[in-house]
Amino acid sequence: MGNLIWHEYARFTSITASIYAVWAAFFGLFYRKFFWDFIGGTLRDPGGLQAPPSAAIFVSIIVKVPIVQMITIVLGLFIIALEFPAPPLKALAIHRSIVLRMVLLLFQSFLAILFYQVCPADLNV
Amino acid sequence: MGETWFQREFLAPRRLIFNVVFYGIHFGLFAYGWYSQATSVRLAGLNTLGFSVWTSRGAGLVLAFDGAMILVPMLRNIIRVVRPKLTWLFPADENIWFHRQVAYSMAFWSMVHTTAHYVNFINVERTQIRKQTALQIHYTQPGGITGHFMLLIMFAMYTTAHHKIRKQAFEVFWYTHHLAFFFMIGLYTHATGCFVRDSVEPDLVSYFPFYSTKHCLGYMSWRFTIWPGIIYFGERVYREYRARRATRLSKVLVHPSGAMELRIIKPSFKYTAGQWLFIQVPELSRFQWHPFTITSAPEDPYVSVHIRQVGDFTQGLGERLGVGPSIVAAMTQAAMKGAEKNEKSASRGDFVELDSGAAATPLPAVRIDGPYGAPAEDVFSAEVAVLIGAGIGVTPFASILKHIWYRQKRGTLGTLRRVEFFWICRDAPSFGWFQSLLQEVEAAQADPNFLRINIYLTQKISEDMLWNIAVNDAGAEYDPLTLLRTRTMFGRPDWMTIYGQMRQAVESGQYIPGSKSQLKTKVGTYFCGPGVLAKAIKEATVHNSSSAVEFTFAKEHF
Repeated sequence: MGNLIWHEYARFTSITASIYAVWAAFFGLFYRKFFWDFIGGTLRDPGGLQAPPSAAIFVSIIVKVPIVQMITIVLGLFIIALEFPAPPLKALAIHRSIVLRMVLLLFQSFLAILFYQVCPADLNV
Repeated sequence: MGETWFQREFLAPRRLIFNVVFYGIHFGLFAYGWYSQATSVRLAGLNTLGFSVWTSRGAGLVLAFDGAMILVPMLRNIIRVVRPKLTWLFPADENIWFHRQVAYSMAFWSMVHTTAHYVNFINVERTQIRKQTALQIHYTQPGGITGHFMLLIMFAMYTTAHHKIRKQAFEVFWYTHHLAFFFMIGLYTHATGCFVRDSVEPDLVSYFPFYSTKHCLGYMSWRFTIWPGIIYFGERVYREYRARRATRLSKVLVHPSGAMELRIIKPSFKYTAGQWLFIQVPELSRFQWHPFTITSAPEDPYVSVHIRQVGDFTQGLGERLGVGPSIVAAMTQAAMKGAEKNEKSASRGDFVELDSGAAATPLPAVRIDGPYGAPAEDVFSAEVAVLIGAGIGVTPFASILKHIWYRQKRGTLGTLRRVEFFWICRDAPSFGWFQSLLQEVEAAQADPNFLRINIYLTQKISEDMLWNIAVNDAGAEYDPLTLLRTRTMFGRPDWMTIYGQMRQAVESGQYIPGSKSQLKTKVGTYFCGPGVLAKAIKEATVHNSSSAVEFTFAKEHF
């Protein structure tokens, strides 16, 4: 078998997933929806699924103010900058850190799974 | 390199035409899909969702087109048959390039389509135009399931198809790309759920295709896009059948330069000079097919390929045959030192034949699939053939030169009067097997003017080597580097001068005896090698064409 250099493949993977996450989070700014609102949510006609009161915290940071989406965009852009790499980051030690990448990608998938658009990005991560 | 993106994409006429037609079709389909959705009376309900529906429908139509086109360049056998008739229309050799273009545009439109649908479904949920939640559409209906599934497959296929990954581990790319089978199934079934409809509930029926066309108003594009898929599948089955026909590895020769020559006997295998084949050694890997250029002429009673042990497959093959890299390295070193050099035979040692009977292990079974690629028959329709091989691109000319030699013997050369062969390489020794072939061909020439071999060495040579050459070269019958009668030239060839001189020689009638009676001399150039060089040569051919001499140029992708 050939020698697949895993970290190079991982680089393409995380670039693809991050670009998707940024793009999806951008749309999440305009169409705000808490992904898990079907758990205990009520379906209104018209109006769609309303998240249960227990999820009020998520509603406030995703639907009322799209904080999660914004963080996802920033995080995604940072990962892209780290992976490509952007010239200022290339010189730094964090560019070589695998641990940092793991943490960033975990954060990204956690944030992305919260709102509606980005679930496929999670599959990919 | 040297040229900007704009120059490459828009200032080359053929590329410009391609871009206009290819992207024109895409945007045309998108516009049509958009328009037909936006003006559809029956789908007025869906149209209340606005732009996102129009976008997703337009992009969906484009993707149907791409889904059909992505397989077309992969129909290798059909391309091989239609290629000679259609070279004027499209460069059929560029099939992988075209495949990539379709893939790029597929990725883009998938992004448009998916984004639009995500907006659609959230709006469906909010307005409750259908009594469903976005989640249900995404993960319980055929369209949503196959769509996400296809995105996941695309993600795997695109990331492993990156050229870096392909170079590192071709198998990873090769196996992952076979997910295309499931991708295609997903594509054909993507719209089965009666998704685009004018009724509230899907109008499904119990017989094929399981939806009624009365209320289901999708494009039903699978009716068209499935055909390339069926043909491709049929072709793969045919290739498998063909590969299983009787094949025997009859001989393995190891050349001093380290190349293994595999001589394979397969009576059902018909090919022309300059083509290539896939080879499989089931003992090493049951699924891998590796491409190699055929180096034997069609007249030979066998099919041969020359294999250098450079990758893991070829090294594995060497080990299996008992000539692993270490043995070959020793042989090569000995050959390079000239230890076996014999002035009388003027060659760097002879090849070693691996005897199948005496060896402890019998030769492995092999399977070959092919032939593919460009037949070089049109060499014989020109008066003068200029064959230019650069680097590894020289391999197909082995077969062509041998073929010319056979036809010369039979006296069936057609209009061909002279052959100019150019070989440009960085370091000659690595292509030692080719030298020995050239020696044979050169030695067999009765007419010294028929075939002229020009070898250019572009590598920087050290001072030691320079003096070595200077000392050995003077007065020697054979060139010290290549052991050919032809002298090696150093540096890069100046194509303008070469073609200019050739034109003058032809025009003054010195080049081809008796050519004055002819109105026009056709000089065909056949090139195989990197694109930058191709451009320089093409310019030279265009520049030097005159009323008496017609230079043509063909870049071959063997």
